[in-house]
Amino acid sequence: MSNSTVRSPTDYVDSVSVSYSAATVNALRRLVGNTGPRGILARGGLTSSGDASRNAGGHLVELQGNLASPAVEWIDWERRIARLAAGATLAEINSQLSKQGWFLAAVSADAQTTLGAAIATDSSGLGRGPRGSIAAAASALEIVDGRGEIERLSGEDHTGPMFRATVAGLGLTGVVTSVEARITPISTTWMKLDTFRCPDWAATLAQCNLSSTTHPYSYAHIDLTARGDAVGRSIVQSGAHAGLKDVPDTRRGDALAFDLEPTNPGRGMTDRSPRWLQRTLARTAFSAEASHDVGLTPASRFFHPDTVSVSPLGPGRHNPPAVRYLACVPDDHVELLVEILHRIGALGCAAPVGTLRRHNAQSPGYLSAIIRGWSLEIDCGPPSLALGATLDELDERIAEVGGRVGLATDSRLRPELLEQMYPQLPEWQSIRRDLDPARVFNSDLARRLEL
Amino acid sequence: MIDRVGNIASGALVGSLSQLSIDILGNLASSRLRRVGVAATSPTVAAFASQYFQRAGVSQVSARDFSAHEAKSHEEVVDYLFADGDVDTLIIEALGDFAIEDFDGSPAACASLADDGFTSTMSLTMHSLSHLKIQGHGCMVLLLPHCRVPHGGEQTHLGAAVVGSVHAGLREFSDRLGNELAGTGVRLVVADVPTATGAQLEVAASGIAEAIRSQRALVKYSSESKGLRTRLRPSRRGNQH
Repeated sequence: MSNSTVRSPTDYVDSVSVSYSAATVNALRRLVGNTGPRGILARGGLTSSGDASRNAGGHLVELQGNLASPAVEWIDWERRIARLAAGATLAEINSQLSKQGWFLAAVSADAQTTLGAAIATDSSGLGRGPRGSIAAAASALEIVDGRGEIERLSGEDHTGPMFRATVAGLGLTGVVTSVEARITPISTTWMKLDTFRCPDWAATLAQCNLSSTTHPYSYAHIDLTARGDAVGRSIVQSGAHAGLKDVPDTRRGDALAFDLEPTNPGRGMTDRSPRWLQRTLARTAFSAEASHDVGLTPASRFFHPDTVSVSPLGPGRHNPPAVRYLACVPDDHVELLVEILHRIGALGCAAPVGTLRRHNAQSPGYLSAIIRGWSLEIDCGPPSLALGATLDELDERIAEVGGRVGLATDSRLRPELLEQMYPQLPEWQSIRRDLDPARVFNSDLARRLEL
Repeated sequence: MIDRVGNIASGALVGSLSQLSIDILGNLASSRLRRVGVAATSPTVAAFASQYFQRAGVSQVSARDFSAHEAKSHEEVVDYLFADGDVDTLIIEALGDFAIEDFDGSPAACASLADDGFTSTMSLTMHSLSHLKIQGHGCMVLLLPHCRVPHGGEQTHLGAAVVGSVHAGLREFSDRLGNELAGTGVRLVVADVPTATGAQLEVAASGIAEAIRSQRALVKYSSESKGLRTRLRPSRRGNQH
């Protein structure tokens, strides 16, 4: 007898949703009031393909028109706050802000995510303090809740329960229509970049710790092809906004241009490059000796390396990712991340490059994964039961030490661990019941995790 | 919802169930399987399936029996399976509990068997499909187990002929169903299971479970029986998405 042989799962069959767009708040309120039994979800250009951005059998809504443009409504120069359209992408907002000498205080990696989606998923920023997460940089929100009412949520001190439920609320308390966010003055859109090659995990941690105090922004590319003593080797990128005097004369004319186009097209990998080539290039890039390089780089390339893929480290990801795993652990359990690197590395299914970030503060969102400590983001694929079993075990270890697995990109977490990871889940659920008593807002994640 | 690594959270069995459909869902079971609904034409099978999944640690198990003859009740039967939420994998089995020794070969018995197999399976399939389309995801498995006749007499036994013709009709139906499901988010696995016992059935159950996990839009199994050798072959009919 020969066993049946079915190829392992390689292609993910999408569920089906009906997409709408809303150009005004009133149009959005009408959509919210007339949604079907499967509910509605504002997707906001999320490309992670996690279950938080899917609503099988239900409706999806994209914000357009007045809800997306103009990207910047006004700037309060004294308070350093701007009122921004939630439907505009982070790239559009920074492009508009930079023309006037400002920049979002916190920027996450995905340039095409809308600001509303970045708030709802509390995308991780690259900096410290208020730069650590998009939610931490928000000071007020306007939302359309599940009853179709417009709510203004003040987040000046990040203590308001509704504000804390809505940031990182995964779009389940309401649709964010406008945001007041902290901005930072800049004189160029160039970044002074310090690049440190760290040969092992200890060096990586030491450099990340140091950079988080000396630079406003920093993160580390982790080599996921490394084995043995080399596990944890990395390239730490630390940046600060460059002043006009730091920029060469030839660049001063367009020093405030924020351009997402690759500056060196044709170089480096794309997400279509073969996996073996990605791995070889990544290994080559990481295996160089410990060093410290100083240079200038466009802010677009620093903040959005996946979009502006000119570096061997740029994409290094599955696109779309099969499973994106975001593990956050407290400071005193950072060694658990090494175990994660070993366990996932042994499966041989991780993308060549992961991202390690240091977080100096906890995000205000009840369901935000960002806690004071460290986060490690890894793309894995193709999906398999072995991968699932390994991640299940890692989930338990993370929960035991008070860590969290990120929900915004999740597509497989068990609901049993949710309350252990997110102890404020009951508060969030209570506020959600107030803002959306009929559960108009829904997603695959909400159904799977029984939120 | 089937998660990204292939775990299902809820499953349902409906029809003339045999051990095979229970084994398939058992193969899919993991700590993630939280809800199972069973609607069987045999009360004994319904009770057995209920105990089986409770012992397997499934936290929410509901089971009932129904009459295949009463097509009017089929909508209510399917509603029962979907009453507590989405169903990730729904297995519909046709004539899985057919017992050759109880078949007397009379015209009435032939008509009743054909009606039980064909009409009720189609009725259950269409009612289930409307639920699955609404939820916008899920996998429907149409399970067509061959009739087993002692000493390999399938070619000549009248009951086997009726079962075979029912399955032939359902195979043709499932070909059209594949087109119907395009763009709905619902996947279809058609499993044409050969005459098999014991270890062979375990292989079949495992292979079909793997096909369900494969997350392909349409998987069709064909079977060929060569004496004691049984082989299941998946063939990809193209991804609808």
